Amino acid sequence: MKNKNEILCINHLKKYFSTPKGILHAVDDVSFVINSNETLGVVGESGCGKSTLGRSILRLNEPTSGEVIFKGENILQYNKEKMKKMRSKMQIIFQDPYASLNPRMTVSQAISAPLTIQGVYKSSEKEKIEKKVSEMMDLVGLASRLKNTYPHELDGGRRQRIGVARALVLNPEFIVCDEPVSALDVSIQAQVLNLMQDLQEQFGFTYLFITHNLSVVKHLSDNIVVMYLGQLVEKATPSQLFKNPLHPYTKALLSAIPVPDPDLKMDRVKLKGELKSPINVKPGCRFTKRCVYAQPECENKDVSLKEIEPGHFVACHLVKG
Amino acid sequence: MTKLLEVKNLTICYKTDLGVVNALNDVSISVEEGKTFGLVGETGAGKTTLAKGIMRLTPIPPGDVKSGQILYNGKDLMKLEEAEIRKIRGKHISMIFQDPMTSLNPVMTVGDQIAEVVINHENISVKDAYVKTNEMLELVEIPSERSSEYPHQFSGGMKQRVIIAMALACNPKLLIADEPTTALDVTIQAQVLEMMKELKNKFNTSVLLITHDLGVVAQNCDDVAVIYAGEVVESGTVRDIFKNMKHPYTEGLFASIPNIAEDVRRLKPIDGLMPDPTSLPKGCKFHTRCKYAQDVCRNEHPKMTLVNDRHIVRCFIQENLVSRRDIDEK
Repeated sequence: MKNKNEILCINHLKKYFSTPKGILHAVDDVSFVINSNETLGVVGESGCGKSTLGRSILRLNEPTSGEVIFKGENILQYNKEKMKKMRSKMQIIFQDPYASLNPRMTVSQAISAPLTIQGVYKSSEKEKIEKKVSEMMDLVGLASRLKNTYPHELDGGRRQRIGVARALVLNPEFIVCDEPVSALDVSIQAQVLNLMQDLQEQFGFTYLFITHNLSVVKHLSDNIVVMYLGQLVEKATPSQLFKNPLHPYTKALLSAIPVPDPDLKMDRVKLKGELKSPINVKPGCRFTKRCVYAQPECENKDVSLKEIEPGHFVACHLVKG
Repeated sequence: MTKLLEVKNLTICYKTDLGVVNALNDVSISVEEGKTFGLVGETGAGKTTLAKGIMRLTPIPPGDVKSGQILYNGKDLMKLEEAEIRKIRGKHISMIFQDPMTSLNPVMTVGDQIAEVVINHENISVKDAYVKTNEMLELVEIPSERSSEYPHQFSGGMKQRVIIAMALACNPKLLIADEPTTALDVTIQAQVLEMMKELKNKFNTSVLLITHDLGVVAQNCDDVAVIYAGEVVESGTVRDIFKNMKHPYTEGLFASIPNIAEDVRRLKPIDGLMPDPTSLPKGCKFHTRCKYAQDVCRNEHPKMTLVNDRHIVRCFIQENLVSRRDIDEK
């Protein structure tokens, strides 16, 4: 299934960590495709491997096995030098705007660092750098008077804008957004989300948008994948996923969102217990222990994604196509 | 309905090196018996200052309680001696803090921590206190065998349930829950909120629920107050606020959240940022971000105006001094 718009293709990506207790399966056999100028939303609860997935794609932690094919080339085979060049095309916006900025760098230093590191400008070309920084600050809506301030002087919304500007300064094509608005208040969150949407329309970026907030992901994404304990359990368009969730975990997740309307009462699909540990996982569906519909076959047989309707995939023994 | 808690004109500020932070300005709310009162606002609006103020836990200095009354069952908590207020805390009014990871003592078993509250407030033997502790743990669906374990052996959702067990151990009349589920995942949040609701109905506890999540408010509260820059800008029943909102800030909050039920192409956020609490603007605190703002908003401070007998708004639009029409037509 080759699509000419396809920009990133992940095949059987695995990332295992070895811990004193055993092997931790953070990302286990994940495959998907993102088309150019689209947004793929990744949802799941804490500890399901969403951030590890994003970081593995950029090789910020080296994947255990699998393929990351960016514009037709498997970047996992790149050597260090080639990878460094490649990073100017693939950037990341981190979750916590309080922790992801160097406290000893001013706004302008933080935004310009990628330019000198990637050799776009030499550090002696001060004027060009300055011009580019002002351009970026304009773009993300930061007043130019803040150029020489330090992160601690700014609020969360402005700091996250620095993170956005820093990711965009090299004019990338693909951006991993790792919970970029989770640490922000709702009114500021909406400002940053609008900014990211505008920039995508303007420059044709492709986003991998990682979040635990289902309403945000519905708002932004062209496609959504739901992760549970390192694996994809469902993949669909937002309207398919929200109108007709198929996996019991997705159903539970959707029904747990409190709706901001006092007249709509939640009809909650209950989950038993809590997220199990991804260390030394056993075969079979990983959701079995919490699933109210679990059958004996769920415990023994591994499940993989199968297509139920066009574009709607689910990994569950009980959903028959 | 009888009012269990009435906060009247509470003003609290913090004196810092950078100036006086006016955290709460003339705030009045009342919580009725057996009801859940939601307090909504963004970071820095003064939600936690209010919660701590009610419990008389404001750190002094730098805090300074300038004025106000806190009437609990008609008794003014502000006038009580420290020894008397300690008898109220945990017994009559208890509190669930925001972060379950840091609000338990890491070097005490959870059983000891719950029993401590019971021993301090109830006139019972140590043995009975531990019986009560085990009952409370079972009530929040934690096996009582685990009472001899330490907080680090529990997950986040379980720790928050331990804190709920502790808060309810002495059967308080009022429970103040300060963002009880903010640190938790949605499925765990739903479990915890459901449990709080059940226990509230069982013991007829009143709850002051502080949150920034409008969904949590809609699903759990009877009455709501919206707080902005240390001031209540709108309050009423949950239906008043969600179905018939009047204040431009309340409207802005709703327009900022992506709606699960509808498709909205673009969000309409509130422009700008919350004003710096060391130098709050003159006039209406929201005028710097309000699209309807006129000269009167910049100079005069709006008063609370009744919409109906429960629903009150602090806005000149409601006083008919400013019109929405001029702006909406443009």
